[in-house]
Amino acid sequence: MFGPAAGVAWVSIRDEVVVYRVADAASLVLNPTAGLLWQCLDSTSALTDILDDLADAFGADRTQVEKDCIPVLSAWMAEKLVEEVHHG
Amino acid sequence: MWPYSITVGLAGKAISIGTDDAEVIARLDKWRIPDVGDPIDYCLELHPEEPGGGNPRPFPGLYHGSAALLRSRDKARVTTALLRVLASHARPAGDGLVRVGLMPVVRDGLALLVPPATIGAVPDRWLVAQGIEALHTVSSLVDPGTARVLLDVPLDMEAEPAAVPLGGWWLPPQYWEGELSPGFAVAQVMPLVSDVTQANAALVLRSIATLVEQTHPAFAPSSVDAVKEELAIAFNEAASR
Repeated sequence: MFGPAAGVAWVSIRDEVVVYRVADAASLVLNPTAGLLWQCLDSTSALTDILDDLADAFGADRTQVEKDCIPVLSAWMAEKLVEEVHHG
Repeated sequence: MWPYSITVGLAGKAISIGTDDAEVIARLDKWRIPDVGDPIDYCLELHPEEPGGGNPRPFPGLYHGSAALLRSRDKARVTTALLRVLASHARPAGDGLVRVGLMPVVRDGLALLVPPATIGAVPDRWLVAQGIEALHTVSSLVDPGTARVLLDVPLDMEAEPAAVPLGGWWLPPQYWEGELSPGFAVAQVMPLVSDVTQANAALVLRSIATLVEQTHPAFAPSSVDAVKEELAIAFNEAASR
């Protein structure tokens, strides 16, 4: 499970999502597709379920969705915007 | 080196001021704290020296680092600007308010928030002639709930801060043109917001998004002529809304 890292806030405005990292006052603006993935990262849902839902929502091939989303998620993790959450 | 200097404590922050005027130091004495050895934050020069060599005498001025916040022959106005700047430090945002690093310019009961450097380049006399009051400072307190700017009262003056409707806001000029999407507008505003912490970041971000939805910001023009023209347009548009 994944969710916004500590010290990261976000807001949805129209069809964009703005992600803000307090430590360096850096902002990232996500387009609607990336914003949808971001909003699914709720620290509760399993990544496989999120990818299933996105594939359903877009009527897209599940493998392709995974191929598209994993690099984005990895980049967010590298930027310390997202962290993996382990529940007891 | 300034002949006089003082460090004042405001809302837990130490701010040092250098000046050539002893009266200003006396006025600030009740906020004095021990010198913490920081470099001077603000400089108030009320009695500039004759440069000699036939060069014109500079106006009195208020400086933040190397940037002039205000230069005017009116010494009282320059002193008031310092006291307003200090008041902005004394009143951090709280209770759902946000403090943004822009200064208010007011006409007909409406405020535009603009980068201090943008207005600093416009002659004071022109602003006065247009009925525009520029409140020279480094930041402004905004209530996103009511979309009003709470004008800071200069530090040693007793008055309730006036709340003026926000008519528009300009962000520091950029080297690219084009319309800002709402998301990019929020992203451009956030670095200008003071006192964002891990605890309040989500609330501040939502507040800025609310303000952007109500009043979309634009980049400030970069030439003085364009600033003059766009100020008039912005005030007229705000008044007609």
